[in-house]
Amino acid sequence: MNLWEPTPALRRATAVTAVALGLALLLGEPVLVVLAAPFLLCSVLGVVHRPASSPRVRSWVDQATLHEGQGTVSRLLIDDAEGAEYLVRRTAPTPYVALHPAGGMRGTLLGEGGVVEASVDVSPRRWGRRALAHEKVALTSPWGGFCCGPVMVHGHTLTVLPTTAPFDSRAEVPQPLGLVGAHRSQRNGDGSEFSGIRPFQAGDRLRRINWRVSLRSESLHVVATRSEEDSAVLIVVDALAEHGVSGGIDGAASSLDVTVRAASALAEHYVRRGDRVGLRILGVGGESLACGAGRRHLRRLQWTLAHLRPGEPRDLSADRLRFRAGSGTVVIVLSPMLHDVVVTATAGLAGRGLPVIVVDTLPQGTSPAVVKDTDPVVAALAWRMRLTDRDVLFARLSRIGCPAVPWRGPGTLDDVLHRLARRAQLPQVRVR
Amino acid sequence: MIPRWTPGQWLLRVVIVLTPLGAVLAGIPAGATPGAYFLLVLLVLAVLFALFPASTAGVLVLLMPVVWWAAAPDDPLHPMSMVAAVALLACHVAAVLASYGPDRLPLDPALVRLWVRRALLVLVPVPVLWAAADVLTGERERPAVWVAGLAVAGVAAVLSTTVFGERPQQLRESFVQLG
Repeated sequence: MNLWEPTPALRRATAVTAVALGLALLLGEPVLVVLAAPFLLCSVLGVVHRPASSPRVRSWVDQATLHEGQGTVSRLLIDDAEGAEYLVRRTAPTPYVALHPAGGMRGTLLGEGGVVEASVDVSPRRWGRRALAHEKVALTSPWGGFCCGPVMVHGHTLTVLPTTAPFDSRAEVPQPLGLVGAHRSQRNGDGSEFSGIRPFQAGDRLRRINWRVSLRSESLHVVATRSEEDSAVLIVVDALAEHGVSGGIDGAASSLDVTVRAASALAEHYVRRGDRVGLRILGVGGESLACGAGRRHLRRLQWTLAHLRPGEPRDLSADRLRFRAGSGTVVIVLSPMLHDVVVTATAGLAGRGLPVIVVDTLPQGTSPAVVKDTDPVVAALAWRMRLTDRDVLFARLSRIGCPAVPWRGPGTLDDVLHRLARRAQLPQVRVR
Repeated sequence: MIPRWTPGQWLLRVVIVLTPLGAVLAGIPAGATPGAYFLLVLLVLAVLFALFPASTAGVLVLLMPVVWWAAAPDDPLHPMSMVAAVALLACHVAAVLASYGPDRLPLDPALVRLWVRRALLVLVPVPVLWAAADVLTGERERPAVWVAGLAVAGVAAVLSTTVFGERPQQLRESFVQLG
């Protein structure tokens, strides 16, 4: 079966040749032969170079998993391209995916043996699963005589991990309760952080003896230190709704963009510090990852964030939400706090005595999505009332020991973590 | 509504529109002035051809100057007929280049260079044929000329059969798509 068919150019050249030569014979006008001669040659050479191959197109991308803003290359391989001279590929536009050359169109002369260099650079501009659109590939024979295709080639799916928003924190977590880590514990133990000087007890290491104090007091004294422990951090992601319009990594950020990028930044920060990080997504899938540490766990966290499905699950209620947060776990809720269930669940976590921090992820100047034909004045007024209501809500949460801070990158959590740590060191009276 | 073509594609379309008119206007030194209506029709068809370079309008656009050269000039074998041949081939080549892909496909300089070389190659017989025709014009008719003409017509017929007579049972779905 031949996959090659004549091009319009060959049909045109042949038709012009046939008519002109026919008229030349009929009218006896040699000028017609002069005018038709180039077309005759084009036709003959086009037909002579008719390919007999059966090309097969294969495509792939160099990396199927990458971060927002990174780039990869979509490549083509043509098997059995004998006789093909030129290749044209066209990739349909995909939302939040930048293509180079612009428009995803590329034409190239084939090298010896059908070697193709018609690669298209692909760069996803937003986290999530990005299914590249189908593309069409066409081959043309020498002298433009015959063409093969265009054939459809399925697009690949990219997993786009959220980019790590710039984040750093020098504050320690309030109640480290792990084994070995970087945070100063509330308990004394082997560590480097000075706690105090106390009388020598059996079992104390000799190198801990403070000779100056011992000589002055005429009894042995040792330097006491705080042990250093790791901590568990649970990141709660509110994916119940998206507020604002996302312009990808180069444009404006929606509330979900801020949430996901902040969650990725926090996860990376705490995992690199040696803490155990867990994830709970409030969305359609309700994905949950238990606390874990290490690079592999960080990859799983980012992968889960990339695959989250925003939306409200059918049976959503604050009572049914399970966070699996153990004692001492620091809970960071990333949310615009515009859903009652999230607010109730946050208050519930704070009520359990867990250190809870709310990070406000509603971008400045976000306007609400309103139903068509809604009076914009009424919509603006309603939105302002909603924001005022939200401010009141934040104040109430703060009063029950749940501070709220807007996401602003590095240092976002420092102040609240310091305050929570100071509060954790105060003597507490618990009513049973 | 202005098409969103690349500069290279715009250049090709301009060539497609202007060269058939140029092929006709080249006949003025040969003693023929084209009528306004003829030029208007040719212009409309050329614009159509420029917009859709894979359309059959191209056949008419190329044949109109060819027929006009046979009918109108007092001296059809005027040297300007070679200019007309160049113009018509330029129109054809521009249409070939424009129809390689989508309208917004950037023009590949390597492909343009290749086709310029090819155009120069196929233009080689034009002055030879013109000189031969010029020499033979006015001489007593020789049967060999007609035999040669018939042979050329036969080749054209074979070509036509080859191109149009076969319809490959191409099933694009059968194209192996991996991915």
